[in-house]
Amino acid sequence: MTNARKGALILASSLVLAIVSEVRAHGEPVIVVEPAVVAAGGEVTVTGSEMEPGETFTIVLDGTAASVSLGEATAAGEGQEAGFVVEYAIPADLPPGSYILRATTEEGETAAADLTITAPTEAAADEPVTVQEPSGELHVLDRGKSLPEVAGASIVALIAAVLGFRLILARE
Amino acid sequence: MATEPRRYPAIGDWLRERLGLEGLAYSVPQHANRLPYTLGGITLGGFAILFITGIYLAQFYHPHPTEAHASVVYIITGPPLGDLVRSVHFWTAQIVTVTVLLHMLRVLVTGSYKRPREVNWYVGLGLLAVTLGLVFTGSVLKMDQEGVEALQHNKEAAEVLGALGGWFSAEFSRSVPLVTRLFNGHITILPLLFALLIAAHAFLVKQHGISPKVTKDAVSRVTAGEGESRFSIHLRRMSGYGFLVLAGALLLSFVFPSPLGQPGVAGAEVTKPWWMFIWLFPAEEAWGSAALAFVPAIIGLLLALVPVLDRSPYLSPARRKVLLAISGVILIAIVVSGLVATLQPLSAHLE
Repeated sequence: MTNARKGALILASSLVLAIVSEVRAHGEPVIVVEPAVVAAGGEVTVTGSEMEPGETFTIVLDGTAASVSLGEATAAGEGQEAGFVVEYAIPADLPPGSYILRATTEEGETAAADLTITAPTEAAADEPVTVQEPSGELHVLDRGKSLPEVAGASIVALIAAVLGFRLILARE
Repeated sequence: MATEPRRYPAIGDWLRERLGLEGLAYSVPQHANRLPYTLGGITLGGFAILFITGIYLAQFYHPHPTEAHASVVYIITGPPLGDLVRSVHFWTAQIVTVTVLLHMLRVLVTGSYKRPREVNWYVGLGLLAVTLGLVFTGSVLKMDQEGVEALQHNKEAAEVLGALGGWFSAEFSRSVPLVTRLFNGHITILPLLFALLIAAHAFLVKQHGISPKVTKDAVSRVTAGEGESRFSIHLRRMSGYGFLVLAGALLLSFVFPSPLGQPGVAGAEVTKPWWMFIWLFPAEEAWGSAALAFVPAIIGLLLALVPVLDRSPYLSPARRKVLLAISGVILIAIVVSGLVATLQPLSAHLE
């Protein structure tokens, strides 16, 4: 084996080990916000996971127009599986827009999730926001095509197929 | 008797003279016109369809978390040919993914990565990464349940990558949501990278010529300027296959319109990813979401090592049995992993 090949193998092994060691050392906290879109004045549920038991996170809502502290949450549970579930009311006077909900510890551990805030509505002010149930089903829509659409697309497909075969099978 | 030049030359002659098309008639080996050696060109034809249909779709798509799914519903139900154009975009993306993978497999089997074509192998790996990046971002943009779950996996994998995954995190920009930035990546960053890489890919193919025909004793060498056929013929066949891709995508679009799920809800996992990513499911079960980052990274690294480890000049698979056997085992593992994940009930993945 040449020196160049040995060098390449050592480099490759080091890179693989570096990646794997990085992976093994994972445990970065994760947060999920539901719903991801809420009207100002509504409520969101923040679920944290992959946290150390007893870790306290400060929850802040960051946006270009405003930054608001929502409170603190402490992770409960065992081992690496600790986490929290907390509910927060979004201030009714918060300007609509895109925000980042950030959970940070004093040690600098951080997790973030997108949150879009829309203009306040009466419903949002009076009733809790209902979270839509997740579904793997297809969205049922009318996928019917008009006759001109079908005819036009069929002609394009036919021309493309004929042209394609002619170009492929043409003599040199 | 001398013939006078025609007053109104045929359009073909007119174009040939003005655009210098004679320059495309340089010599190439006969085997360059066979289907396996045309897969790269077919992929390029597919990309042309994707660019054109993508431009149309971008006129109606709204890249904001609150509007994205509704705008896709509008594309399907509102604009003229919207559903059809979106379906052609979807099916062409599937076809292109197949052809780009087959192209890479052909290059691997025929030893076309060997000296002096090593750099082009790396450019090709870059193009594969860009293609998969385009497919992934495209799958997220519709923001249905499957797209939202893909986005969630994307965030988790980005966290494993640390600083390297920063762009994929919500924290990267306070003013623009992640899905909007993924859309920007889908229509600007990745196409720009694709254009640069494909230009380099084509330039290097022109410089080195098509890899020699594989025979028992064939060795890798420059073939530029050699051959009994002409590049213009290769180009003609490439275009022909490109038209067949369009016809096939149209046909598939009629029979199986591009799917769209219910509006996505974050934090749930009730769908499976597309076929080109589903093989990662079992790895995710075994090692957690970190596997979504490190398994592709390791496979990418192994592919990058191919020209380093296999430095003999011979092209014949019979002379490269070890490398091809290892590649075959990895490929079978990926296919089996994908089949298991496809057939497995989703609940088993979540346990």
